[in-house]
Amino acid sequence: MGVLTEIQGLLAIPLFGGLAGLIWAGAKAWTLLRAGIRTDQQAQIAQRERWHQDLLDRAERAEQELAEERRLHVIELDWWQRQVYWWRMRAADLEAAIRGFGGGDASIPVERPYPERVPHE
Amino acid sequence: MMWRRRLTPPFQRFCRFVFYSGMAVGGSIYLFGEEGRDILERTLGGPLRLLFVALLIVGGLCGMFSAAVDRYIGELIGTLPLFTAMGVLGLGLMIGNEGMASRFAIGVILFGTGAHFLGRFHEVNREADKAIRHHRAKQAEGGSNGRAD
Repeated sequence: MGVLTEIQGLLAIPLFGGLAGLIWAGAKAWTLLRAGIRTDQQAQIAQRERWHQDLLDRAERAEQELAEERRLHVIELDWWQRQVYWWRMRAADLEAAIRGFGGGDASIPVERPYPERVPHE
Repeated sequence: MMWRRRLTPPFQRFCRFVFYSGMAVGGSIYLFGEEGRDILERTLGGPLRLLFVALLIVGGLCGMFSAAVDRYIGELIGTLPLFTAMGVLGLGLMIGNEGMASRFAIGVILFGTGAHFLGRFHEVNREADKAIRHHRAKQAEGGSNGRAD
């Protein structure tokens, strides 16, 4: 019985851990509040939409660079083609993830690896 | 591009509210209820018992707030204390079951509920991390402040 009481006494340790967790999470919540970051689901969806737009913008910029390189007959075309392909694919992944969960899910897809080469269309 | 937008359905929020209010009310009963020779009293006597009750009430109230206003910030604060409180009470009942299977069973159920809180914490914490990361990236770019307008 004495050993049992000792074990039960050890339960105080996780309890203090919970208190530490409460303080830590409170500090994190304070960071969110202070930065003015909204924490509703609508904001999460809007955030993913912005990321999607960011990816599309990057792809567009890379396409413009590619066109410029082509115009100047630069031989580094492959690098820019891979850039365009990568941004486009990541944007498509993100869009598919959001559509797949009915727009209500906040998850984002695993980032796909940088392509070794662009597949032939 | 327009995507279909959907907030948390009201029924889900209502259920969450009831769930979290159960934690807060349960904690209050422990606080104001008559002290008995229960497992908490034996293992977590005095200030520790108060700490347990505080974790339960604070966690429950934060969860209720989250469900009421549909913001995950309350759950971010409240789920870790609730996980701890449920886990400790569950373990306490399992260890000190005094040969009663029902006590052990309730302990297991409470421990399982604690695991649910830990999972929910992981979910909302990831959301918070993403939001903070995005906010900082936007700040570093010198563009907008990353707020979801």
